[in-house]
Amino acid sequence: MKKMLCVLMALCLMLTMGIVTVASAEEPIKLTFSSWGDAAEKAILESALAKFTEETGIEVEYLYTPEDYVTKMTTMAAANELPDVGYLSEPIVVQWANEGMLLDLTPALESGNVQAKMDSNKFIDKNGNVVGVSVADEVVLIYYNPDYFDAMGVEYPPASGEEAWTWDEFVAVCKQLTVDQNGKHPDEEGFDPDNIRTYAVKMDDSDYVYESFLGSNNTGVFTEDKQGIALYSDEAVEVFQSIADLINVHHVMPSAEDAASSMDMSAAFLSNSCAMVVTGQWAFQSLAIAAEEDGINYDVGVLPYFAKPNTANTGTPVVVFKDTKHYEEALLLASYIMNTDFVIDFIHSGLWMPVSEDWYTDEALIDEWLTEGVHPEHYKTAVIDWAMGYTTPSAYFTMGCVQQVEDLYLPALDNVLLGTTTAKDAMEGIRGELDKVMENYLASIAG
Amino acid sequence: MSVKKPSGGRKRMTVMQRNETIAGYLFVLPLLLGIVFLTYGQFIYSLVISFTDWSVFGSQHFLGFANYAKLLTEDFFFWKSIKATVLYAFGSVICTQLAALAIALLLNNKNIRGKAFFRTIFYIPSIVPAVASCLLWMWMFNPDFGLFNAALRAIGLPTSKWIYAESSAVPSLVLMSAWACGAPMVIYLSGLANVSPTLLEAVDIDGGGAWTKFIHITIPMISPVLFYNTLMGVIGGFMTFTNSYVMTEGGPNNATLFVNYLIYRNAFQYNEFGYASAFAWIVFAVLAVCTIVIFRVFGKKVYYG
Amino acid sequence: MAKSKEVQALGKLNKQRVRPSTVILYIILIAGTLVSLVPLYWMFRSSVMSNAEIFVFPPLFFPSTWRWQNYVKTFQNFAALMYLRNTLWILVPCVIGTVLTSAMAGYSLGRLNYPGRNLWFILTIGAMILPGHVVLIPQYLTYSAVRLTNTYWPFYLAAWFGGGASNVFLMRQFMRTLPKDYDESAMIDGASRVQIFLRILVPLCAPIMITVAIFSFMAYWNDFQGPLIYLRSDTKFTLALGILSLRGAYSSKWNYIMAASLVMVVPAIILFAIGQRYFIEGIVLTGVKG
Repeated sequence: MKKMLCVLMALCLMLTMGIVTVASAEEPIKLTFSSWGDAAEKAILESALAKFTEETGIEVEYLYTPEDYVTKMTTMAAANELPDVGYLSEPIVVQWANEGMLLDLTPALESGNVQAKMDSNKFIDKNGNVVGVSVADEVVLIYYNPDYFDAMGVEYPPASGEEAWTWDEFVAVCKQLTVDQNGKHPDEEGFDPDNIRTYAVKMDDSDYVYESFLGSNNTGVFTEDKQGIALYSDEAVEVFQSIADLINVHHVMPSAEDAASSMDMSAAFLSNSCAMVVTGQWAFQSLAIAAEEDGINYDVGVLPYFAKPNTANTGTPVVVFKDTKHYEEALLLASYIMNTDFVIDFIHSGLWMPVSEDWYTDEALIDEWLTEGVHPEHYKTAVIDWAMGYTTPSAYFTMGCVQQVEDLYLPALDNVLLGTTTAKDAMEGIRGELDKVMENYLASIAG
Repeated sequence: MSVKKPSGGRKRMTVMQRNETIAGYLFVLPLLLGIVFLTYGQFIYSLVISFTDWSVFGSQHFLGFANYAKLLTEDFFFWKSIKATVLYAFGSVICTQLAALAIALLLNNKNIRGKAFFRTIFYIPSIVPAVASCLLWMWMFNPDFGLFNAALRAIGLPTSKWIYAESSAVPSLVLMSAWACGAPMVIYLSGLANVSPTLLEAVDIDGGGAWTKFIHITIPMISPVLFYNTLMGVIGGFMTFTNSYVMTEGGPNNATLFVNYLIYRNAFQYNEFGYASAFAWIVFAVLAVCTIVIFRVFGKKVYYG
Repeated sequence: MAKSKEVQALGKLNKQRVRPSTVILYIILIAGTLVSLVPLYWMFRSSVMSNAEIFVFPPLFFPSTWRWQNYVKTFQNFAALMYLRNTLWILVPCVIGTVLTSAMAGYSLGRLNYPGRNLWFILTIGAMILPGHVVLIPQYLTYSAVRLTNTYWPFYLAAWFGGGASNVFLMRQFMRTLPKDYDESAMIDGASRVQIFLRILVPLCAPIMITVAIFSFMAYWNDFQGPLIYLRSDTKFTLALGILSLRGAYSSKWNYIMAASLVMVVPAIILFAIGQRYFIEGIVLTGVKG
């Protein structure tokens, strides 16, 4: 009986090995690439992949997942069916890399196939390997409606880091811009905070906004040595309280934020419900469409600051998954996808910024970047130079526990923004939990 | 009609019983294969990993009941989410069932014309794809620019923060769930169509009013669908996901952090599958208890023809 | 001719007593109608607006210009026919399988008596109460092991093997409300159980079977999660999944999304409008009264 089994198993083994050797000998290399995105993004990636196949002779299967990307990837990981190369959602990149799911991209970056990339767009795992590089950069900005500023006789927001408003200057301007239904400003006698016609500013209730201002106050989500949480530091609490005060003390910002915020910015400008919006660079695309369709007017400035001008950044990375059987070819494909030339359409449409360094310094490339009707007058200084000179990478470029931390502090901020508690109390209330998350994370990457 | 048992038919009865058993199994066979191979096999898999630290990636270690203990005693979110879910589930069951039954009764009224039209209209909210209806409701709930507060201001009533404040978030989502009560409404309607007019006339003859008819005739006669809708409503309430995932992301301050969303977060965002599975099995146990209670409460009172 | 008919109709109206309670009923119904139609109207007006106008405050009830071209633009680069064909490839077999196997199971669990029946019923209810996210991966692993991912078989198998616990439960509830006399007299006439099921119960249960058919149609029509997990190639995608490709990570064309959603809702509404006649009035037509 035992002998039979052994023979059987040996037979099976031989068969499989036979199949495997035959497969690798005869079949040409075929890679799988996966991404999310809308139809336009899909079309551009398809043409990039076609070009790759044309130039290298390597076939690529394109796996397109328009929604719930992380769920799909996790499921495929469980079944050992991950693609060779693909996008991965920013907050989980380092987490997956620390688990050994992603391969080092350094050889690709050093191969000479890739333009030099900005360091602020590299995802670094616990071993110091570059495990992801953004295909696009995005920084945080103030968008504004110049027509409304003109009507109110207020000077436009500063368009370069050197001239950025201090927070107090910003609050003062916000008060000039905010008016209630009777035309009264905050601080004026009889101002009705429940019936505001135009708010001065609106901000995305999102990590990139908070991290921009945290960095500006010389702090962050994590301490500088990445060994602890900084969210309950005095500097961080000051930032959170200052933002909440815009809503509850100064009445210059609406109280609730919804997912469609950056989308309805053009609506806000169209109906003068907000004068300025703080959100990411990607919004130029929808603003350009609204300018064409509805004739709205827009321009851009830099964020106000606490201790120093600063913006956080973000950007979808391309990664190589660990199960790839063709590491070399996968790296080659990754470098193709990172190539700015392929995504030039997105740069022209206002959705993306390039990640290659020379696009920020080379005059000819900047001219190629700037697009009439999309990138407004102050784009060069308020976006390109701002991104180059004042970016502190978001926490998830280097930390693998950002989700857990965000799931604690963002909900805690809700009540701060509603004015039912202070930033100090809210952050102290979750301090123990935050430290626990950090402790577990440090233990997990030490092992 | 009742059939008298033939005397001395013990053997015949067994044959009949055997036939019934064979027939019963044949008819239920597809379902049985489905629940054994496509459902409970996977359930057992998740039960097993609920005792491990499986993270999808790589190896797993046996932890015993550690995941369960951690959930019940240490987890920062666990009890918040249980509380939110229970509130939502019972709130939505009560409101949705009342709305569905009220509409069904209204549409079952003999004096109403164009029933087909109204039935279709009232079912429409249940057909609208979730993406569209979530976007619509977020816009209506927006405290500063939304439709609800604009309407409240117009008639001089105090406004609400709706889904954007801790205390009103769950009630707002309950309101939204009652709006999409088309499915239970349809089931009530088919139940009501089954209520015997002769019995209702009998009450008329006895001089009973509408309320007597409703309590003594209608309710007992639709009790099988009432039972079905209530149980499905409770289960559906516990399993709710899209509203917290799309609209509130569990907020504000975790007020709408429903269990299904939290399980999703643990499983797919933190990659703690063992832990998420343990969580799911606790929910299973809670719902099993609820189901048994509902069966006991209704079970004996449900009237089958 | 037409005039005389009008006069006749008027005469009829005068004869009928309009009760005040009926008027109140209609007022309530019309109010409910408005509430129910808000989403459709909102989707419609958003679909013919510019993206910015959709969110303007105070809200606009009509677009400044009617942008019918949004519909052209939405479907220009949208493989609607391919997605529709794929959707039907999943939907038709699945709805048939669901109705058939859930009716069979409902008959067995609701009207037959045999050892083990209660256990199967309890397991059926149990199948509904474990949160689905934790079985997603084991389920995927199962289908992956038998090489059925990237096919429609995961949907077919689920539909033809039970068709969903909630449907079985609904069928069982209805089967139980039908009087037992029917089966018993048929048994005495020598009918087999298959004959009883096909000739007596299926016609009697037609309304509830149509209800289940409509519910499962809606479920498959709008489901994107299942196709998303099991399908690899976008040439196999369904309508509900295809529409999501109008959403970008940072830029959603809400007017196009609303146009596509509206186009998708219309067939579902028509189907319901046709189907509801049969499933609600059907019971009365068959003349069965508990």
